[in-house]
Amino acid sequence: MYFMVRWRSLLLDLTKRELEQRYIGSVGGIAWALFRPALIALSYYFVFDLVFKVRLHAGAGTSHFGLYLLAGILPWMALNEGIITGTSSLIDAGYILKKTFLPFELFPARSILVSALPYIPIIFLFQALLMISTHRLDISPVILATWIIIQLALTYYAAILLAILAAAFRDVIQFVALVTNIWIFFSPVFYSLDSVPHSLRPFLWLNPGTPIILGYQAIILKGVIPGIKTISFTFGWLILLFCFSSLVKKRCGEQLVDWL
Amino acid sequence: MKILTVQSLSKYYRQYPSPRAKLKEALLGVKCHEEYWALRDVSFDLKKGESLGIIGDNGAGKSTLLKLVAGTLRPSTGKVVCSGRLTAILELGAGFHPDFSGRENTYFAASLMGISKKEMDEYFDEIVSFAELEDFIDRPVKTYSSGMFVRLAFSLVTSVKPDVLVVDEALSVGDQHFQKKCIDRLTGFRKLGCTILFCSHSMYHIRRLCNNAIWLHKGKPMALGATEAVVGAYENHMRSMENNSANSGHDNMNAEKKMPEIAGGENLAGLESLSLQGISNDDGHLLIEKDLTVYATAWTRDSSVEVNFGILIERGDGVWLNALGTHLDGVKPRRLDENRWGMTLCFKNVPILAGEYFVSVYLFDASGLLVYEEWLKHTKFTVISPKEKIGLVELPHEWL
Repeated sequence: MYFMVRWRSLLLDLTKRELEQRYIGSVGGIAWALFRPALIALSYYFVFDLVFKVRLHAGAGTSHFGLYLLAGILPWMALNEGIITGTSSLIDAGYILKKTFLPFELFPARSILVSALPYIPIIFLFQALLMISTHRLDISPVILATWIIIQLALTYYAAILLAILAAAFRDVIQFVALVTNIWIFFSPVFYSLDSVPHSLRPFLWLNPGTPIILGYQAIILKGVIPGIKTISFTFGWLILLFCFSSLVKKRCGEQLVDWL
Repeated sequence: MKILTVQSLSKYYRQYPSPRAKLKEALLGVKCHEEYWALRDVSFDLKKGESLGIIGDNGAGKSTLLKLVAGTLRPSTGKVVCSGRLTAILELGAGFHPDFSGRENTYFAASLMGISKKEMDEYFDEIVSFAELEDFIDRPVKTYSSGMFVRLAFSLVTSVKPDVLVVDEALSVGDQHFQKKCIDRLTGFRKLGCTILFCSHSMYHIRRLCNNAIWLHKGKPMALGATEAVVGAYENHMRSMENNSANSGHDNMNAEKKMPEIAGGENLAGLESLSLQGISNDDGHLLIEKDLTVYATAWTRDSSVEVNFGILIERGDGVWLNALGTHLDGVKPRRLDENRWGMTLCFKNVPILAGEYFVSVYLFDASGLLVYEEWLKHTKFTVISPKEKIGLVELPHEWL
């Protein structure tokens, strides 16, 4: 984390440039980055709340399935995109890493920021609208901001780990692409954890996405701090990924750039 | 004061027969790779103002050494300690994106080099004017010609005076006019006490620019020391290589001797004529007089451009007899008029013996580093010597 502070200005430059690069030459520019999450949010709301009118039981935090879905799927998409682009971040940045002497961690960090940034304002907007419509007033935006930072940290270490592994074995990219395709079905995004058979629930907790998503649902829909189990699993994953990524980083050392 | 210390620097790459072998090694810890040593145990240190030339065959590890010093490669063993600002002119334009304007790219590339936006605001105008891109700086880089691209990149990396400069034969950037500016800038850094690490195939440039040289062979240092001794040893090695493998060695030898070529564009100066006096006018080009005189003339774009001439005499099989230069001998060429220069070189009592010889002429800039034009093997002459004279030349001698 010290690293982030030391290199913050370059990291922000890199992130800004990467975002601009995607939309350069278009009239809309960076605004396009916001359209996608906003449009997805509206579509889900339209289909599940206005057309299907799916209703949930009381424990979920809202009776509207569309809202429940959004509270999970917006952060999930940021997480998912961060993992996918983070995995190939080092290979993609090979041309810069081979010609400069920048710390390689900048590039996975850039990838997760670029993936997450467009979703963050939409998530806050969504929460604000929800608070207005339910006449709720609490400190949940602060908790939400904290939770987002925790998610970014977790994604960062996962991206470092996967990016180094992908540099060593290109198979990792294929593997991650495959896993992220089905990942959402094993996270409590489309359903609540209560509706999963008791015997299968422990398996869902093995998914690092599960505690993260549950945290968002608690904060956004109920306005409360996530439960103790959610927090401990999240930090458990954070520590595990931190240790693993540090270990792999140490073992690869000087060879890493040669693999790119 | 030592400014750059390189300590038992090595770089090896692990080569795996297949990705599966790599996985096996990662999971089981069984050694499945072969080591390829690109550089092995190189040590030296440089003081302020010193310059080290790196020479060697292709694949000898020259670029690896430069990249390790520049920090773009991580060493396998050993270390590089540089106390001061290091600038590497290895691959120009790292991080440039074609869709962004020259201005945006310059600022971004500067941030990759560790120059803050605030510092950059100071240098920016100078960078643009040196690159002569005032009218283009806000256009996307993809609309630039390749010359404009490298001009901007070169101007950027050399905008801040470095303490150590790492150059990989980057003396040919853009057209003649800009090359001249580049060389002036680099020699200017040198005069200001900048330490230079320079890699080139041109022994001529190594001799002109470096006080010390290191000769690398298959990654290992063969010789390190004063330029003349190291270059001499390397040239010996080249000659024996040429003898061992007549074909490949010969091509190599030619490549080594070749002077850097000028990219197109507006030329500042060029050769005009080369003629020999003392040889017969028929097809035989026989040397018929005792003295051989070489005349050459050149033109310049305007009267401010100064030139130097170089004359090379070589035998038909590529053995250099002698290479001479006005700048090497401290002679000034004759100014014929505003824009024309001339030189006359006389070899008295030419001592060379039977064979076919070629004369090449080079036109240099005032510093003798930039080659404006070269006419290689331009004029031929033949020497027929009396039977009793054996060898390449007749050395001045006396029987006592």
